[in-house]
Amino acid sequence: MGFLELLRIIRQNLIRTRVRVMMTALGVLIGAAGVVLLVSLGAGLQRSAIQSFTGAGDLTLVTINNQSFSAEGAGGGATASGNNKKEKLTDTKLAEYEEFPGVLGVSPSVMLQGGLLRYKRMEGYGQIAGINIEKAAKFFEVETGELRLNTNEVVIGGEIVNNFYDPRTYEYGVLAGTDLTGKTITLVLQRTDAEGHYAEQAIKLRVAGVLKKSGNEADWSIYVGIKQVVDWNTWLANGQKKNYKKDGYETAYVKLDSIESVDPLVQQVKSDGFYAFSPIEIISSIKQTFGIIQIVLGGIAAIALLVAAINIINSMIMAIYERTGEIGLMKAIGATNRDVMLIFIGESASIGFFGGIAGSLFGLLLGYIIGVLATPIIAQQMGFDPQGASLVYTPLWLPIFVLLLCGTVGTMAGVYPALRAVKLDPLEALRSK
Amino acid sequence: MQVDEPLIRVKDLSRHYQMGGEVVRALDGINLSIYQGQFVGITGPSGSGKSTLLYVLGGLDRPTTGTVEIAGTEISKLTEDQLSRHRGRTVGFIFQQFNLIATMSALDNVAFPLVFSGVSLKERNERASRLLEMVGLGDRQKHKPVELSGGQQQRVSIARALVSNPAVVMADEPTGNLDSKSSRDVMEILTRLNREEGRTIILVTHDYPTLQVTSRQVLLRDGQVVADHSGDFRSANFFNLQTSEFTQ
Repeated sequence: MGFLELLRIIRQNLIRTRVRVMMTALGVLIGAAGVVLLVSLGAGLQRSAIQSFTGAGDLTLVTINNQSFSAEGAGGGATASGNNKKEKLTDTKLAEYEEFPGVLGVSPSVMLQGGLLRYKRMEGYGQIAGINIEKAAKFFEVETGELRLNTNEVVIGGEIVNNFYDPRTYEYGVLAGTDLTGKTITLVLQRTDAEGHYAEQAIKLRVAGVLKKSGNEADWSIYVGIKQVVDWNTWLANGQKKNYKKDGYETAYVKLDSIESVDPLVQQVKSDGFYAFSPIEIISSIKQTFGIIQIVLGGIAAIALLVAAINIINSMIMAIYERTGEIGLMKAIGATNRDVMLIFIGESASIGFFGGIAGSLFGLLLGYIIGVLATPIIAQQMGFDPQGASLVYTPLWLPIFVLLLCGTVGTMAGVYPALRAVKLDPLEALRSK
Repeated sequence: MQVDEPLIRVKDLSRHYQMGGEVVRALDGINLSIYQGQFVGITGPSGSGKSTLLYVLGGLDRPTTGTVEIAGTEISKLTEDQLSRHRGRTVGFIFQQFNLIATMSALDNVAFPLVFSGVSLKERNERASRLLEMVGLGDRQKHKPVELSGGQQQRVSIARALVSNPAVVMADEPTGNLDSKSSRDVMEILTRLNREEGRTIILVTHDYPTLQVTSRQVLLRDGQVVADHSGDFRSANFFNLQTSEFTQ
């Protein structure tokens, strides 16, 4: 029996038992639609999470730290153990990284240990970091103004303006929408020495440029020339000057030419005993988390598919009871066991396959509807901006995968009933009527 | 019409069933040769083994011991799939219950066996259509079995039995479910096939008028051949011998 003949017989058999076939396929449809919908929802949430994390995201910027973030965060640096290899993030080391394949530029960064910002009557804060602007010019893009860090000039991140508040009312966002470019902000440094003498100095800083929002920490940072930050830190530490040339920097930024270059550098940095951070790592951990969510959601829907498979088996066994005489006849008129097997498995596989097609389409449709209707609501409740994207996102592979899965499920479900059909004794089958 | 080599040669054939711990000897040492062109009626009382013999000859059942050779093939040695193909090529079955597929048209039912032997759709339909004409159902090709009378259904199944041009046609009580008029029509077709086309037909029946049209009669009792008569059915002792078998 040729393949076309087989298809013709299968089609005929499906059509004549169409009600049962449709009911059985409906089970598959529900399972398939569930898998498509829930996995799409997981994928959409993942996409939204990644998008809201990176924004226009600079994925090719790697931050190197001499200490771990957690140690810094938890103990203000007191418990930071540094790196166990005793490597230091010195200019020499940074020069080495600059030669690394794909590196566009490397800049050390020195954090200011304190400080408060003032603009008119408002107060604000931000991570103030000293950087080497010639190098850093390669990794920043300004929204307004220019990238220039002469003495008493700063370049600020795009979110800094939102970090200002009214000190009398603690009302935030008072400056929202203000363009600080060319304006002067005041940095107030306060210290108390060992004898308990309090001192304060205010430095007027001109905002040379505002950076484009990148979704990373640069948005919340204020960049100053590295030398000035070192001086301010020395003043804050009552004159104790850190020797960065000898002891190395705490932080450095590395800009790379492409996403592919990130991982080799990160590996190198880690093997040198430093901590490396890039948005890609966060993204991959987001992906991992949402990958698990997708598997769980898909797994729940897959239970429906399992039930559908049992339903197919049941339906096919019923079909074999009903068509026992026919099976006997087929054997009497020359059908081999293989023919009988192929017919029944084919019917079962078709139920799975067509259920899969219909289910995938239905899942896509439902996903679309939910995306359109529910995205604004969910986004509002979870407090993020979907940026015009639907919360439901169906990767191309998903319907294809679901289709193959349903086809496979249908085929597998057909094996046992088909074997029963094959095992029927032709004579007894003929007499069963 | 007869040739020296028999078309079917049965040697020491036995078929035993296990039934509730007891062995039923449905066939018990049958020796029989059937020649090309014969119209053989196998008869006997209920449980005499006549249907079993037919199905063993047709390859739907297997002998317990002994051999069955059809058209040079020793069928007890065939694998299950070889046996299936052998049935499809060599034997055309006609059943008492017709065994037509209810959802298929008459034409599709007749053409169905050819599906498994790889004949093209066009040729299948041509052959099936010709055979339906031959059995007088040329105008019923698209009808489903339920739309046909019993006699018409049985004629469809005769056409189906012939569609693969088998070496032998085997009919199990073909008139058992038919009224006498339909029975006569069916037997007329079978007789014509035998006389005009020289087809070898083996027919199982316990119906006296049906037996009358056959050219050779084999009487079974308790799984053994007790009489085997060729020629004019009414002239022989056979008639006397078997009257007792038909008294019920």
